[in-house]
Amino acid sequence: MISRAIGFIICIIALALPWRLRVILSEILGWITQFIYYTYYGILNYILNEIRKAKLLEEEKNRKSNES
Amino acid sequence: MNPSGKSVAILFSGGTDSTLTAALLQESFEIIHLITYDRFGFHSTDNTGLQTQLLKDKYGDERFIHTILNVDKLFKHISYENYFENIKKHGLFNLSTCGLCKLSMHVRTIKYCIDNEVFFVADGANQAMSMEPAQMKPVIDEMKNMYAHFGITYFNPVFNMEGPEDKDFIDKANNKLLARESDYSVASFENQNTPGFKLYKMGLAPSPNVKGSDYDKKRQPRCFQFIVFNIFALKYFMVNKTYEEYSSLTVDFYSDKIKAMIKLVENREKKLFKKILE
Repeated sequence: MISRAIGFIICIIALALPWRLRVILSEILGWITQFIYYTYYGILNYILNEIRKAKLLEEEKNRKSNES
Repeated sequence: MNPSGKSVAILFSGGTDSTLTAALLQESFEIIHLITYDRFGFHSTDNTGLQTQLLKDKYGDERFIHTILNVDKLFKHISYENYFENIKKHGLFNLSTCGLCKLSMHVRTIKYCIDNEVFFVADGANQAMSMEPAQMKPVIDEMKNMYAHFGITYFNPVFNMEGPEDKDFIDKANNKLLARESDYSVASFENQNTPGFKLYKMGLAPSPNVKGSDYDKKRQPRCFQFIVFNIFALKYFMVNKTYEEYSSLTVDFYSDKIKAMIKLVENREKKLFKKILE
């Protein structure tokens, strides 16, 4: 319900704007979305890399203990 | 079965659907006019040159004419003509930016066809994008009537093909990461009735599903105006309404807009038309 209310406010603002300002409003919202996307992607990417590194370390450790 | 003739104009974004349309129609038309549109809010329109070059290399340089046309004034006119009356009648549907933008492209195409004696127009409209007004069957039918009014046949060669699954941006990020971690990308090979798969088979795309990829970004213009439209349609309207209601109100809105555009083009000798289009 809150997202619908926010959506409605954005729509009313957009409806009142002349065309160039409406385009600029879309651009700003687009850049905010892009920012969220890259932040989300970056964090997830970092976590996966760390897991991969830990997995490699673990495998290396196991291999060494098996050898000895 | 697609029509055939001497020349055809294609509304060309450089994406999968319009590139496949061009590749399919080169079989039945001698000359292919690839028309790309530019306006305030579009970025990297030149990107379309990448797919154009691929088409030229594969099917012959002399068969493709690529033109970039500006629709600034036309888009402004279509969005704001009879504005208060339209707000009263159609409310927030006036924020249906993507459809209005596409309509401005169609009107500009009619002018291009009249000037260059082209009697066929096609685009990459696809039924999978069911929220996008210009890709909804009833709106397309209205567009066909508009073209027919000026003696032009408008058709959609890839309309019945299946589009790739629509995903929000979080899903896209997840998929990108999953594709790296596993064999996930294989899933996109399963459906062979997508324009992406056909284009890949023709050797005009590096993978069957490039939508949203870095490659896709490099071959198409970028535009963020769909965001306001998505907020209206998905976050506001569809929350408590059905798709049928959305479709019916969209058709009403575009029906009025198309009538106004037919009038505009009919009066192409008048000052207003010349001011907007020349």
